[in-house]
Amino acid sequence: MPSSPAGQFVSIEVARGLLRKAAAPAEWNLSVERFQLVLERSVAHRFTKAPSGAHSKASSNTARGSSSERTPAGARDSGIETPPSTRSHALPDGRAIGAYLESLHAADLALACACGDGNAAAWDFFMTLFRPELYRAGRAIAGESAGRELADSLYAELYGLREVAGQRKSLFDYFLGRSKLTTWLHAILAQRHVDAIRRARRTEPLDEGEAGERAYGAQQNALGNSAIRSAASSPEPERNRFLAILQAVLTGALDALAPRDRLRLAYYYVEGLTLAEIGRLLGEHEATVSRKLERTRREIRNRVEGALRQEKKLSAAQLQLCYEYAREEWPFDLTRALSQEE
Amino acid sequence: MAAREEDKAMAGLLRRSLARNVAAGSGSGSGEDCPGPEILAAYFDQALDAQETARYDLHFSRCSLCREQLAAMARAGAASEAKDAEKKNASAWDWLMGPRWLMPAAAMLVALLAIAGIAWRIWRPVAPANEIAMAQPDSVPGPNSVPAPSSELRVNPALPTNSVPTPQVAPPAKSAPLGATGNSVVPRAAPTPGDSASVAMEPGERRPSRTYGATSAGGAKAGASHANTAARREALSSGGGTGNANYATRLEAAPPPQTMSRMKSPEMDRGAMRAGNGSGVSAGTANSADATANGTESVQAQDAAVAPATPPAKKAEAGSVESDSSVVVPSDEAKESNAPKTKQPPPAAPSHAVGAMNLSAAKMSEAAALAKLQAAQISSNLMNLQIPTPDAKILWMLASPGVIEKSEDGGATWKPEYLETRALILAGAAPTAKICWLVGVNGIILRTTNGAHWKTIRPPVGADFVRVEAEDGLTATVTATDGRKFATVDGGKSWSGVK
Repeated sequence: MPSSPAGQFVSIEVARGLLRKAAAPAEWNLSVERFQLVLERSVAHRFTKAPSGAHSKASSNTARGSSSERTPAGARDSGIETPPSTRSHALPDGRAIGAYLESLHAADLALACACGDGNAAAWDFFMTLFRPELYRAGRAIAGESAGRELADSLYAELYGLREVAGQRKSLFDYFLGRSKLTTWLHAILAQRHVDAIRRARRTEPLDEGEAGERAYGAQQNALGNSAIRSAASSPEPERNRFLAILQAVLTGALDALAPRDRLRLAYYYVEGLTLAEIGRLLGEHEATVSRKLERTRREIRNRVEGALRQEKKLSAAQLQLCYEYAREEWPFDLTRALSQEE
Repeated sequence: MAAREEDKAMAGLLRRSLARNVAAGSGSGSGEDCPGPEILAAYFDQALDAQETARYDLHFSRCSLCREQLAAMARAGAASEAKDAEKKNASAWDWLMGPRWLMPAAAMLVALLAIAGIAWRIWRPVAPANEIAMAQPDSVPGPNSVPAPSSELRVNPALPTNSVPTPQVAPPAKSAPLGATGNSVVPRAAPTPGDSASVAMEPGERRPSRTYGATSAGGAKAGASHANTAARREALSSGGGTGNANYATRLEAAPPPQTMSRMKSPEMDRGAMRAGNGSGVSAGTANSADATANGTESVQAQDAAVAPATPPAKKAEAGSVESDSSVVVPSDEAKESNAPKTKQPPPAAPSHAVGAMNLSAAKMSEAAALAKLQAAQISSNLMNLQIPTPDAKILWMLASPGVIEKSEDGGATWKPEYLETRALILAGAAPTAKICWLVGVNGIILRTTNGAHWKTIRPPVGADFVRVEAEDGLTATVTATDGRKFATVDGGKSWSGVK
């Protein structure tokens, strides 16, 4: 274990208290010192993260699986080995640390720690309680066969221990107790699944999901396409102009939204989630999601129309034309968007 | 509808814009700023503080990669919630469900005993005076024996207007043994585990404690049979006519006020829910079984009452499939509303089942008329595929091609909804009150997620599907006539074969 001065953030007594709270069975052989180290790591990750998110990148890279080509960075525990320059200079407030420690899922953390150490009893426990869940979640995420594979590989990886520089490293080291262990497992599965999907998807030409492949100002591309299409159907230079205006105004309106509202909208229109799923992700009731989506839509409509009328000086008729062009332009989108409205 | 057209236009535009709306600086989209599983999980569990949450809200609002991951987590989370709910129900039922081998054997035994019981009762009518003598005092719920038949008739004529909920319904989503919602299948389905389970518990529960053990078991069997043709076949083979007399008896005898009072006990409620809307009989018997398990004294009478009743009912089934459902309906209503939708005491006091044996001629003829009525409905039965939902008040029913009917009051009234297709629907499953999947011939798959609008789902193959199991609006498994199974987790956008 990389050494951070034991007790920098978490004293041995606090660690002992938390371990007791975790109620780890004796067979797990989890010592207080060991638990203290885990807690230290967790606190450090929380409070001394470099703003660039380098830590999360490391953990996300590794958690993404051994197939990743980036260095596993397994040896680099988030937070502990950062060069001093990136560590925040002010030590976190003791009270904040205390509150943070209280909020941790101590039992899950203890289990992860013991499993990470390879303790057989802890593994039995994990296998009984979490393995079925892992498979079920895999199936829910990726379907029957792909899901099983996904769960298989994650399970194997969790089980496997790597020796790096004489120290045992396990995927469990990345669990820091902020969430439930199950949620964390879901997150890893989700990440791997999405990675796999995207790799497969890369062959698709007009993939809007690959945000990176379209620069922010790449609406020209879309307009180019539409220009080609409209040139083929009916040459209307004005149409392109209107579409460009509409797009620009809409983008502006979207940017002006509160992030959460935009997020909700994106879940609905891009990911095509149901109201219930969105509610789960945002911690809102289904009805609330629906209501807020409606409100956001109205807000956008108003902004867009306002901007079109005032800034761009479009008449009502021209406005209508804009919408018509948009509708013609993206019938495919309409089908998808509408199909999610059930 | 100009406004609506504009909304549609906006929808397309929005999708496009949002998808391309990326944070400046994350040009590669490879996830430079994207949080790892630890943070994602903490965000999902809402364990991040306000500042962090806001920061990630911002990131996620522009990062489709992260959103996809979160969406996947939402799917995993949903299934886990459903599983927890199931587990709760399951654990409650575990003690009731015996080993699976017991069920078929029990079913057989029960059937034989039922037939024996029917024969005995038919050929040994007792004078009315005996009714009272035999009825146990504390279990006489009152105005049940004599008024029963007429009220019974009141109930049944009402059935046609309800398009007769058929007994073809399989146990609803809450049935623990089924991972997903069970199926409502046109009368060819084999007994589902849920049904069998109810049978299983019957023999186990009942034998030790009673004198009417045999007949009670018969009741259990009848309960299980409602959802499949097995019982019907038996009923058919054991002859129909004589069943009528006992049919009315059984109607009187079925669980009513007492059952209703029993409804309060958790086992009862679960029994009711598990049995589903179309399976009142099994619910009734399940309830009886539960009551037995509880050891309350009036249960004995109740069991006895239900038991003799149900075997005769099976006999009546020879001619009319409805016999089941008519009893079903009353028990149905009894358990659904816990309030007398059964103002008709048809599922009259079990104690009167004892009296059932002492059927008078008048009742017999009434029962005969009733049976005729039900017989007339047999043919329409085959089309009346009914699909229960976890909400006891909400049911679906397919009564005619191209139309699905929905009831929100447990089957009292129905409202039609129109489907895009007139193809024959063979099965359906409703994992929630609002979500329902339908499958049928020629690869037809339909789904609603709001209980009102139906959408055609592209099938994996153009085969005839005879079964669907669904966990939610996105996850379902369909089974073709040749046994092939296909599953989807994205609402039918993609399917994968299942072994």
